[in-house]
Formats: sequence, structure tokens, C-alpha cells
Amino acid sequence: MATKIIKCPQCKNKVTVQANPGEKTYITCPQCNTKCVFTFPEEKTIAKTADTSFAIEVEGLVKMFNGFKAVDNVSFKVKTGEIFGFLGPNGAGKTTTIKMLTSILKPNQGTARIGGFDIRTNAIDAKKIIGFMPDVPGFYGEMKAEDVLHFYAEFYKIDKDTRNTKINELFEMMQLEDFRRKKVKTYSRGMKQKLGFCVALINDPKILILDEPTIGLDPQTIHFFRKMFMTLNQKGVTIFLSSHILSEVQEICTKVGIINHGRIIAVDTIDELGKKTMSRKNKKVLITFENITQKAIDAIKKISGIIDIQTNESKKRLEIEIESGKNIIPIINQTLVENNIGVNRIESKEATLEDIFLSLVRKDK
Amino acid sequence: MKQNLSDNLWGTYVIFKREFFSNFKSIRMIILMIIFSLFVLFSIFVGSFIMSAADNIPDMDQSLIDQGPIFILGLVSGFIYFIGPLIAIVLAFDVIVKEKIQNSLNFLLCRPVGKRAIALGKFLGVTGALAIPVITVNTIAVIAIIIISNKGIEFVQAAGFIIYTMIFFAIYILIAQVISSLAKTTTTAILSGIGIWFLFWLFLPIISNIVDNSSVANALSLINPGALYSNCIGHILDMASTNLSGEIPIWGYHLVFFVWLFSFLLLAIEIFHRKGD
Repeated sequence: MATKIIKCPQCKNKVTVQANPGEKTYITCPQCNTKCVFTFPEEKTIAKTADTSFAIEVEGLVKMFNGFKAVDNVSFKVKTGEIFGFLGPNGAGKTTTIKMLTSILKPNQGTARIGGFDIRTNAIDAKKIIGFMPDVPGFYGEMKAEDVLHFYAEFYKIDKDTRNTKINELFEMMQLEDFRRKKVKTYSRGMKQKLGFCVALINDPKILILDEPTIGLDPQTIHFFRKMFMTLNQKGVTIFLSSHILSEVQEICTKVGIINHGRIIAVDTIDELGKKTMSRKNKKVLITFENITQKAIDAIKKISGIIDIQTNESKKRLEIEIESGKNIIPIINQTLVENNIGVNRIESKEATLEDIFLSLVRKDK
Repeated sequence: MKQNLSDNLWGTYVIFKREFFSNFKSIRMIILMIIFSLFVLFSIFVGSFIMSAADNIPDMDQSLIDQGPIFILGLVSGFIYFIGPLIAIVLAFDVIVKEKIQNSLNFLLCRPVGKRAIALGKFLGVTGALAIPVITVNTIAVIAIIIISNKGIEFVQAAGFIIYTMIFFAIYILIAQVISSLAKTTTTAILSGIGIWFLFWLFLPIISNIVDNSSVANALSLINPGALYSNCIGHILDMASTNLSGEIPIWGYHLVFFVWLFSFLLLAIEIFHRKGD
């Protein structure tokens, strides 16, 4: 859906119209009540997405820096409308992959299709349908925030009226209206991040590529961004999210890809990855109680099938790793009772994305 | 293909506009232009002083004095030979590296425009912003010289002086842009720029004088934009004392001067395309 401001043929009053490019829409002028039909023009510069069910298709991407393979034969697919989490330790090749997807870097081998457009042969069309937000968005500090948005919007040949409407919408959405005429160099980190997000959305992208967008932000702003991602995804925007905050990825992503040492080591839904990586693994049990003694801990350690015991600082919780296939929870409970420890709760800990991530990365080492 | 060309041309225009206005309105430009104007003013003053006191200066070449305004204009070009490259380098040394440091390059590179178009837009923007004050100052200088000397200058000579001076600036803007694409810090960029200025302004002419061989001197003058500028201006102004040896036809200097401009334009674009990220 795009927005355009047109002039009423009768009274020349400006009327805002929203429709898809090429669509006919019936409008009534709020000033003179003149009714007319307006055919929304086909966008000249916003390229149509090629007919594909995949928003991003990556095939054998390789990037070398002075003989070092930063990205090594990376392949994965992101379905249209998905929120795809892209995880990996520091230096794994996440940002390099993202820079290739956004055509900032050229791959040495392999290719990627963004909305069906090959980044090697049709980079400009691919760039028209993406919105990109780097981890640290940089701006021309001496420019005012609204000038920054006008500058980036101009690349998409968006006419001035539509541009103004879009910029107003973005400032309102990002709660930056009061700061739009301030120079960017006076912005706080969070405000710069919000402005970066405005830049990423200036062309109504079909695919949003976000490189650690919430890094270094306060919890309130992180929550704000998360809500924004969900809202955009509900509107049909495919989101490719690289993040270190695994709880964030677990909360909003439908699928994840994990990269380590430049290679993709897993791509699947979090549930499937959990099943694949944790089913043959040891089970974790969380036990909470009033207090525990060292004697009781030593007694538990002697039980056959216990792999590891972790106590929290307040000595009110135990995290016990049990060998796969051993049902020793009743024995643990009995041992605690024998040691006069009042057990409040025993629960089996489910595999979190963090467990999956750590397990896969350790295995890859 | 046609669509890509149109996107690239549009992108070049958008970048040109931003670079032009941000440079044109910058404090740096104002300071540089004050310095440039003072140098031009000073050279006009020195020229007119020499002319008025020529009779009292021993061993003064009378043929130079007879040239009147041309002599002063030649003196102005001599000062520009010294200060012009520095002004261009100081203005353009951070045109790319600053974007890398402040991380705005990533935002720029993911717009629907090619890297070559970005490099071209930046060059045109900086050159355009510099061209307006430089051409204005030079035009005023020509008018002032005509008034002071009470003698006319041929239009071709005045226009040639103004155009060649601007091309001289443009060559150094391109040199600075190449350095800026390769440098990782602004300090490296400015120091390298000054190093190159030093090489062309002082080192190569000294070598040229030390080596008592006209072929070597000619070869060195062809690889030095400053020497090319001097020789071309000398020819345009038809000055009696130029260091043209005659081994290289005069059109050769003009040709090589333009070859320098286009070679550095291509180099600046290609280096940014390959290394600018």
C-alpha cells in the first residue's frame, strides 16, 4: 500500500489517497464533496518483487578478506512474510553476510536473490525493495533529522508531497516529532537508532534487514522496537534480524539460522532445532527450596546419573544436569527429604534458544 | 540496463546536491576561500608593485614588465600553483573516509545507486562547491588586474586562466578523493594528501633542477600536474618566460593535463568501487 497526495479536480484541495500501485480508488474531496476515480500510478522506481515465495535466497555465498574466508559457502532461504533470526558469535560472519545481502559488499563466490532480484546482476532493483539498519547507524551529524530522511528518500524518486507525508508518519511512529528539526549530532544513541529505523523504512521496504538493531538500548526502547518489528511483519514485511539477544530472537522469530566460523551450522524453526539438538542430550532439572546445605548437595552428587550441579548464590535453587535416559528425579527428591530440605518445586527445564545456540556452537568447535 | 543508468544518474544527482550544499555552506570552505582570496590579492599587489618599481629593480627582465596584466596574471597563477593543491586537498581529503568513520557509508551504499555513481556524485559536488568561489575570485582578479594595469587581457587568455585553474583544482580534488577512498583515518588521508602536494610542488621540481637532463626534466614535468598547469598557463598567456623546452609540442602539455584529469576521475571512481567499503 502506498500513499499519494493529489489535488481535487474541482477545488484544488489536497487529498491523501492510499492504494496499491495500479489500483483504482474512489475518492471524495472532504472540502467540496466532489467524487472522482483515481488510478494509482505504477511506481516507477520501486521495483515489483519477482514472483517468489522466498524473500531471500542465499546460495553458496563466499567472502574473503586477504585470504581469510569470513563467509564460507553460506546458503539459506527466508520465506516471504517470515521473521528470520540470524545468530552467531562475534566474528562469525553475520555482518559480512548482511553487507552482501544489502549489496554493500560484493561476494567472491555465490549469490543471493532478494525478492527474486540477483544481487550480482540486479543489485539496484534488489536495493529498492530492502530497508537496512546497521548496528550503529551513522548520519551526517550537521544535518537536521528531517533533512536526513529527505536526502535518503530522494534516491527512490518519491515526490515531495508523498515524501513529506511519509516522513511525518515515520517521525510520529518513532516518537521523534519534537526532534525532527534538531541536528543529528545532538541525538542520543536511542534516538539515532530510531532515526536509523526511519531511514530503513523510508522506501516502504518489502524486506527489512536489521543488524543487531537493539544493541546498547534501554529495555523500554528495546520493547518499543520489538513491537515495531511485529507490527511491520503483520503488514507483510519480511524481517531478517541479526541479534545477540537470544530471548528477543526466541520471542519474535519464526525461524533461525545459526552461523559460526563463516559457515551456516543450522537453519530451522526454534522448536525443530530444539528437538534435533537437545533430544539426545542430557536433561536439566530445576529445584527450588527454602535453603540447602552442603551435606545435601554432596549427597545428591553421589547419585548415579548426575552430570553437573549448579547452585545459585542464595542457595535457594539447584540446576541439575541428568544423564539422558535416567529417571532419577524421585531419588533426588528422596535425598533432599532425608536431609531435611523442604522442596518447593521441581521442574524440568525446557531447551531455550540459548541452550540450542550454545550446544550447536560448541559442537561446531 | 536503461533503468539502471537512469537510477545511477539520479543517484549521482542526489549525492552531488548533498555534497555541493554541505561543502558550499561549510565553515571550512569559507576559511579556505578567505585564504585563497588573500593569496590572489597579495599576488596582484606584488605584481603591480613590481611593475611600478621595475626601473629600480636590478636585472629585471623588461620583456616581462612589458606584458603588463599578463605578467600579473602569470604571477597569480604562480601563487595558485602553490596554494591551489592545498586548498583542494584540505577540502576533499575526508570526502569518503569521513563517511567510513561516521558509519554513514553503509546507509549510502544500500541505496539504489551504484558505487561508481556515488564516487562521481561526490567529486562533482565538491568540485561544484569549490568552482563557484574560485571562478568568482579569479574573475574579480582578472578585472582588478585590467583596472590596475590599465591594459586589456584577451578573452581567451582570461577564460583559459580561469578554466585551467579550475581543472588544476579538480585534479587535486580527485587525488584527495583517491586517498580518501584508501585511507582508514582522516589523519592518514590529510597527511598523505599533504605528502603528495609536497612531492609535486617541491620534490619533483628540485629533482628536475638537479638532474641536468632536459629529457628527464620534460618527463618529470609531464607527471607533475603543477608543472603541466604552469606550462599550459604559460602558453595560454603567451608569456615570454616559460620553461617549455621545445622537446614536447605545446599541445602535448594541454593533452596530458586533460589526460591527468580524466585518468584521476576514472581512478577515483574505480578505487571507490573496489576499495570504498
